[in-house]
This record gives sequence, structure tokens and C-alpha cells, in this order.
Amino acid sequence: MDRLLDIKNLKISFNNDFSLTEAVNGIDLYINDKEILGLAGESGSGKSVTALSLTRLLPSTAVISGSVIFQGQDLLKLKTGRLNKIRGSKIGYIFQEPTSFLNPVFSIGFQISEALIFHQGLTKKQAFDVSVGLLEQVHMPRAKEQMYKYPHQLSGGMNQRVMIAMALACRPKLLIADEPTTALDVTIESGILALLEELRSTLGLSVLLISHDLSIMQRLAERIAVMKDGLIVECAGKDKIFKNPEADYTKMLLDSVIKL
Amino acid sequence: MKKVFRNKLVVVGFVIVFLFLVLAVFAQIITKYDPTAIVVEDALLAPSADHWLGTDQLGRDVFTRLVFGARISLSVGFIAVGIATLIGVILGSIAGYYRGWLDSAIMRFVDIMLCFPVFFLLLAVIAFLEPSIFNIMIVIGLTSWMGVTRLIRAEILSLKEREFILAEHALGASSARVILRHLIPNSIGPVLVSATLGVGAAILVESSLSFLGLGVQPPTPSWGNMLIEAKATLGVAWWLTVFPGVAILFTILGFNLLGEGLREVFGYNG
Ligand SMILES: Nc1ncnc2c1ncn2[C@@H]1O[C@H](COP(=O)(O)OP(=O)(O)OP(=O)(O)O)[C@@H](O)[C@H]1O
Ligand SMILES: [Mg+2]
Repeated sequence: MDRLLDIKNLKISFNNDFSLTEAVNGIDLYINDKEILGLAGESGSGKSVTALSLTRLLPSTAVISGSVIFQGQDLLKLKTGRLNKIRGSKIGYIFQEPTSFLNPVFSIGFQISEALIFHQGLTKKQAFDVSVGLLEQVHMPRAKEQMYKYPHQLSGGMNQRVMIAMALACRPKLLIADEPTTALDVTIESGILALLEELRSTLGLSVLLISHDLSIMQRLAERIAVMKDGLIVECAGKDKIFKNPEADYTKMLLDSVIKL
Repeated sequence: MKKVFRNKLVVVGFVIVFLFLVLAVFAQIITKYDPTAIVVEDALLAPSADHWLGTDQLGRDVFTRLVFGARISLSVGFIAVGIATLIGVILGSIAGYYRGWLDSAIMRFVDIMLCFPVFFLLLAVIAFLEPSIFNIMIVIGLTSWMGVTRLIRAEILSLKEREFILAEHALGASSARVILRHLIPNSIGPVLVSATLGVGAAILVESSLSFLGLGVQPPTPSWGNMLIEAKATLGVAWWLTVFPGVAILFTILGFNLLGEGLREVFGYNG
């Protein structure tokens, strides 16, 4: 199978004036074409930092080394201008708190249209039509009406659908979903996960699915990497992780899922 | 928008400002007199049905001159603040977004500018240039951008850490787009407040300069130069000083109320 993204010896530290925090200590990870890779691990293990580092979205205090090869280019060495052409158009992100990741002063429609306008050069009118289609694709009820709404007028689950529509607007190859359902309640979570699954097969998307919740992984992921203290302690197929885990830490995580 | 007009200060301030704006814009329609036409036999008439606010020592209608003066004062206020806001927004967002040496350089420049007593700086500059409405606007604008710069910088500093800005970078938006389309629109509230207060302040500065003879030059009427011309006849014609004074007072009051009200609405202190 083809590798879409290949992470080699990724190290990330934060160099503040007073302290040096090592968040990720050299990880290797790859994502195949059209695959959902789960990245699990406790809070503070470095999952989000890893996800953001892939397209260099970390603050300037972050020092990143290693390589992130995507379609033959090392994203860590690319010029910012070139990287901006990949962000949003080839690699999309969705995040944990959808409402705070949307701009409060602009309508939903403006925000979904924006990337279509600057990445694909569509006119406002074209982008509007495409955006309505996208909202329909993420099963937003009354899509056209919602275009004029503002983030605070929609629920968390609806905003997450908006985020997904934005992230997928330019048909990226890879979707990085950092705890996409953690802030949502269980019934809505189920709907979002079903949507991700559906979009993966209709759009042929690869997904890096980050969560501390192994039950989500069980439902969606093909392979699972388990992270602890900035290191990958185990990475294997789903069945192996759930039935025959090697690392003690993975066993511990599994136990906690079963207890719940 | 509804929320804005539920605030009492905003409503009162807005009504006052709006009234003066209407006077200024429709000056020609509102009055049948020419603001600069000298009618010697009508000199120093007290307020009457013919001349609502009386006439000055050259027989010019005071109401007419006030209304045309409003035009001058308001346009000086708006354009000076426009210049200051533009400079402030540009420098402040560059400083706040890029940080580093650019930030240090811009903020030290702000500190230096703030060290000068602005009014004396104004006097010095105007003394070199020719005192005209145009120069006044520019000079007031160029000496009053420091507050906005600090304000915008602080806003951008905190806004750029917000999650929706991260999301915007994740979509592949360039820095310029992030600043222009996302950071600046989100900091519009405080800018509006400071700009509104700034218009009042600029009008006061213009009046003071004109009063000192360094501002708008006669015969063009401005509230400041009307006051200085009235000084000679202070004992006999009270209307010549009271009405321009009241006009200045109310305009500045209007802008300050509006600014304070907007500040309450936007929940911003500073
Ligand atoms: N901007 C930053 N400056 C300094 N340290 C940071 C910064 N961002 C993250 N860290 C540190 O990096 C480490 C990893 O954080 P990260 O957010 O990746 O954890 P996580 O696995 O995503 O946890 P969670 O499940 O809570 O989201 C943490 O120890 C955190 O303190
Ligand atoms: Mg996280």
C-alpha cells in the first residue's frame, strides 16, 4: 500500500525564555492512502502537538526536527508560501472545540467559502453554491439557511459539521481530526463518527484520528498508535491492539475502557 | 446592532452627533445667508427672528457661520482620526502579529512620540507649515496615532492566540489574509471606541489651534476662530462667544458619550 504521509524521527520541544519542554521525543509513524490511523494516549502525551507540527502550525517557540514526507515533499522544510498551498487544500484539520475554532464575527457561509475562494479561485457566487453543497454533504439540516448563521447561533454538533465542511471544502487527501467528538455529547458523537466514516469511503480520504477514547478507535480505525510521554509505545492493526496488546501501557488503556 | 442602541449613552451621544452632522451636511439648505458675506449695517445684532443667533461685528449671521463651522470642525475631526486610525491599525497589527524587532522598533517609536507634549509639537509643526485646514487635519492625524497603535497591538496579541486564528492558518490562509480578514475585523470594537473619542479630541485641538490663530484662517468660519474674533466685543455681544462655545461643548460631549457608550457595549476597558 502507498504511504500518504511518513513521519520520521519527529522531535518537538518548546523553548521558552525560562524552560525547555520536550513534548515529542522522536516518533516514527506513517499513514497509508485511504486509511484511518488512530492516535491514542493520555492527556499531555503529545498527540495534539504532533498533529499540529505536521503542517508547522505550532507557535514560534516550538523547535521541530525530523521529517514529515507528504507526496514526496518534506513539510518541515517547505517554505511557508508553499506550505500554505498544502494546508487546507491537501491536508485539512478539525479540532476539539468546534465553536471556538470558528471566527465569531463571520457567518458560516463566509467561512466555508473563504478557502474555496483563495485556494481554488472561485468567485463568491460559485463558492456559495459549493458551500451549500458541502453543508448538505455533512448532513446539515436546512443547509442554505445555515449559511447566514453565526457560530454562536449553532450547536456544538452543528459547528463540528461546519468545521468538517470547511476542512473538506478543497477535497484534501488527509484529514487530521484532533479529538473531534470529545466536546460533544454521546448521541451527537455517534453522528459525527458515522459522517467521518461515510466521507472516508465517498471521498477516499485518509484520516489521522486523535483521541484518548479507545472505543472510538475500535469503531473507525484500521491501525492504532498508542502514545505516552512523547513516544509511540505500540503501533499495530486494530485487532492486534484490542486482542493481543504488547505494551503494558496499552493494556492499561484497554482496562480503563472496559471498566467504563 | 440592537444591543448598541439599547445603551442610553450611545443613544444620547448619537443624537447629538447626528444633529451636528445634519447641520454640517445640509448647511447650504438650512440657512439663507452666506457665511462670509459682510453686511456692515447689520453688525452686532442681537439674536432675533431674522438672525437666530445674532450677527458678528462684520454683520455676518452667527448661525450660518456656526453651521458652516460645524462642517470644518467635523471634517477635521473625522479626517484627522481617520489618518490616526489608519496609521495605528497598520503599525499596531504589524507589531502585534510579527513581534520581534519590528515590534520593539514600532513600540519604541510610540514611546518617543508620547514623550512630546503633543500640543506643542503641533504648534511647532504648524508654525513651519502654512496653517490651512488640510495641514491641520494631517498634522493632528500624524500626532495622535499612538494610542490606537498600542490598543490594536494588545488586541492582536491576544486574538492571535485564539483558536479560530489557528484554524485559519490550518486552512492555508496567508499571514496578510489572517491579519486583514480575521484579526483586524475582530478588534474593530475597541478601535471604534477610541476613534469616536478621538474625533471629539481632534475637534477640540482644531478649535484651540484656530483660537490661537494657527488653525483655520479667516474668513473661513471655524468654531475656534469665531471665538477669537468675538474676544474684542465680549462685553457687548455675548452671543458671539456663547454659541460657538456651546457648539464645541456639545459636539465633544456627544462624541464622548457615544464613545463611552460603545465602550460599555463592547465591554472593553482601557
Ligand atoms: N505552546 C506550548 N508551549 C509549551 N509547552 C506546550 C505547548 N503546547 C503543548 N505543550 C506541552 O506539550 C505536551 C503535549 O501536549 P499535547 O497538547 O500534545 O497533549 P495531548 O496528548 O494532545 O493531550 P490532550 O489529550 O489533553 O489533548 C504537554 O506536556 C504540554 O504541556
Ligand atoms: Mg490534545
